Amino acid sequence: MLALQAAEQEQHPELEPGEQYIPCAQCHQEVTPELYTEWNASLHGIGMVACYQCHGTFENFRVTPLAQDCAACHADRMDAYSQDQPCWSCHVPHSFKAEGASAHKKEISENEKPAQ
Amino acid sequence: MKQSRRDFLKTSAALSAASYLGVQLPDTVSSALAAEGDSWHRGTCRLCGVGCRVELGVRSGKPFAIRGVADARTNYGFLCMKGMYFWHCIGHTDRLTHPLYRAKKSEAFKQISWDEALDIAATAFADVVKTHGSDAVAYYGSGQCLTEETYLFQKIMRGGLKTNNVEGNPRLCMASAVGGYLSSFGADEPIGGYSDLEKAHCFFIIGSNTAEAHPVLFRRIMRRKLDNPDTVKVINADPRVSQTSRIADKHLQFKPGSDLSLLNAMAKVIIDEKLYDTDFLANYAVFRQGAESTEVTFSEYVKFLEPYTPEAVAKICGGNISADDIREVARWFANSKGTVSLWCMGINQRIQGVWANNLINNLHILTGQLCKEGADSLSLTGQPNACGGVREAGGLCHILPGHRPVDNEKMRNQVEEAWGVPIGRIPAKPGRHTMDMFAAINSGAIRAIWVNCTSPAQSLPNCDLYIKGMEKDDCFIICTDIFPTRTTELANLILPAAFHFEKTGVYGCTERRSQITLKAVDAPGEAKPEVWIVREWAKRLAVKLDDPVIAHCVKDFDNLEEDYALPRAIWDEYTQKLTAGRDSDLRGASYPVLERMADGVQWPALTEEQALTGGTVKKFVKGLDPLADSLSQNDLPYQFYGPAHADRKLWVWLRAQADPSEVPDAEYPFYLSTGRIIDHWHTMSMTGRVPELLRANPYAHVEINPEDAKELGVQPGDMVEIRSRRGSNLLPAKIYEGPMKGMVFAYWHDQEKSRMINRVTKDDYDPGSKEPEFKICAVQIRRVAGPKPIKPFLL
Ligand code: SF4
Repeated sequence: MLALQAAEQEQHPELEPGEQYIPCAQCHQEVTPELYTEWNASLHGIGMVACYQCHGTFENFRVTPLAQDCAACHADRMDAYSQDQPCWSCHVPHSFKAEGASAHKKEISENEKPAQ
Repeated sequence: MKQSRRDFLKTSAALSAASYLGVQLPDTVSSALAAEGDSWHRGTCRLCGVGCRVELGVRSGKPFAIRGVADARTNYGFLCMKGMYFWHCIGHTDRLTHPLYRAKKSEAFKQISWDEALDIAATAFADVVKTHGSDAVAYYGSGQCLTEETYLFQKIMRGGLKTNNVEGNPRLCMASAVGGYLSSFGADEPIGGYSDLEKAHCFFIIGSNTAEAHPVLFRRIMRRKLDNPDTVKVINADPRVSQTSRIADKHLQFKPGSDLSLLNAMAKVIIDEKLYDTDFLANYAVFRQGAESTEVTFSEYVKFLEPYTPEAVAKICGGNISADDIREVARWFANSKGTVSLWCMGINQRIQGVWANNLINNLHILTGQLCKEGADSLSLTGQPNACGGVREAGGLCHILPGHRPVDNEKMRNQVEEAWGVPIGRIPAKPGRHTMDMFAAINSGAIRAIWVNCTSPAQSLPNCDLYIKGMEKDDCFIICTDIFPTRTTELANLILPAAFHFEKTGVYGCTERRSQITLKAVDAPGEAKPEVWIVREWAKRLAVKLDDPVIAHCVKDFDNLEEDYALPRAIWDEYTQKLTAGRDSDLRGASYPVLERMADGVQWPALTEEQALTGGTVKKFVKGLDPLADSLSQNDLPYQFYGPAHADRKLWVWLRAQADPSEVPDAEYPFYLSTGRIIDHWHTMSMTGRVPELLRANPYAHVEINPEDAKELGVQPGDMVEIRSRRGSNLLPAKIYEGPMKGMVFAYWHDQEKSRMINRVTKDDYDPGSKEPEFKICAVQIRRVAGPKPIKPFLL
């Protein structure tokens, strides 16, 4: 429900100050359980990349992260990336598995880049 | 047992917005993509010991973004949330921007000029030296200071003021690892490093929640495991199941304090099943025991291990693991093509911390899981510059720069000569170690202390006891910091320091790697780099004590501008004069070299040519380590030339199980352990000021095992009192199958007095390393009330 409203508004529904101190995942485990489960099982979930690292906090919340958000960790992939496609057109949100042929101009071998 | 969202909201909605902590809200969405006119500045993350390489984006003189550096072999571009956000501290409105002073601790602080502040600091120290002697003054630093800062401070204390009262918070986190490396391998710091993670076939993680405390290294281990689910094994041994356990093939949940038994039992399996490496042992190892390091035979070692049968030890460990579990992990450890052990505070912060380190190192020596690809006994370091600054540059009371023991006259003389101070200037007796230093403040033996970039009033164990001493007016306290802390509250003089990227200097991370951070933005107000503060202070001390030797200690640094030339001159003196000929030789790692490398330099690196290749990936291996070649004494491929073992052997230690300082009893029936959470750093003065990080974990909790919670009648969110013989906390409960039954776990970042868990922990310490046993004490647990609205708190 929360997520639906947010998607429409591109901003998080109003929260009381007390609510703002509840970690995102704690609520979303209940209100968007399928997204939570997908994230939790992903590399981001196991590696403890938290919701706010991509979606921001209340004042700067975005439902769809910007390419810039990805770039803090994946700056090199941005350089090697076809600018006409957003990350989400290939990387399924919350599971991050890539679908279809790679849009990255250069691929990086496992040995060079062990921890994607 | 889960608290519903509605329940939580009901209890917290009563609070008004105005009553909440005034967090500074982010004004822009961070962008790590460059726009025209933006500049990107070289550095490392300010926070943990992983040492992730970053670039800070600056636009119109202000930072606007950060990004990981993909070419860096530390982090390959990845950052955890702390690395992503720490730069928000740079422009924060709470920054300390002017010197503040009060003669008495009951008075309010007054803003003063730098001229006055430096004069007061010099007078305070000079007066104490004149009336009470040199050993009545002390310096207490941090594994978060730049190497140049630690080096210069200890030079003034030792060469200038003639005292070895030089300590730092790394005593609280990795002193046991130092003791373990020196006594097992003859040399401090790991033999290998992070590059072994991608080559390892078995990970043995004990006493470390790597996923939260070293997140980017955890991602490398995670990736290795997930890419090779069948051929790579992960063993996680810890009394608490944590996020790290998610990638484990086996979690060994042992009773707090039974770690020595567990490690000996693994060794016994390795011996009984003949899984040891006979050639490696014959070529490189001896067996030793006792305070005199007496050499014993292999059969005596085998006899020593007799009581540690997997069956007996499974019981000692509390019954959550079986004898077969112990056998299986010992086989994985010994038989893998490469095994890396990783540990941190769970092993180090123990009253037998050095022994526990020895027993991990034993497993590597027995099985030859050392010096080859994918094998290492890798002690994780908590802080970004505990290794580089404090361990290597003389930041502890018993060591001088370049891994030199204070109590060795030849070593002292080498340092005196390098500094051009009279021979005999550095006292022969090591100074007071951390706990002794703060006990000496309580007793009145230390009358002036400089606390640099750390908050002992919150981070010392049993802190109430030591706060009492710091509160008194008979100890003059100077603090250099960027934000108010529980310790600046007790200070007479607060000096505003420049933050990371507001000054230039070097950090040395877990794996012997030094990396430079260059000044990118101006410090706010009148905040200054510590190297400038120390130099100016020393010049005034020289006048007040009428001692030209003090002036001589900073003569070569006079008039250098403090943003680059000054730290560079200090680094040059330290590396060229004091690491030359030592195992931590950094002569090749000059500023220009460090500024060219994607990820700095691993020592030993004797020449710029070596440093430009990245330095030494594996110590002691001929062909990889220049010192292994130049100091070679035979045809063997490995040369253990470390300064502490004249026999050039690795030592397998006979170390028996010994109980923690305090174990539960009828009156205090639970174990308490404490630790870190991913979103926060230490005492939260930085991470608590970033809204994203604060909100993720706004205050401390106590984790209680569901079975215990049921017996105690504790529901999620209930307010629970934790009481030890020393003090108490009142914390909201998390019911969680993390800590094993009979044990509770609390986070230590919260600054609010009733949630500062170090008021409860115990201050007994390892007799060898002097590192306190933060990780284990006995407590009572009592439900006090239902869920209450809680405000996050920052000074
Ligand atoms: S893992 Fe450590 S060094 Fe790396 S970004 Fe996080 S806090 Fe910084």
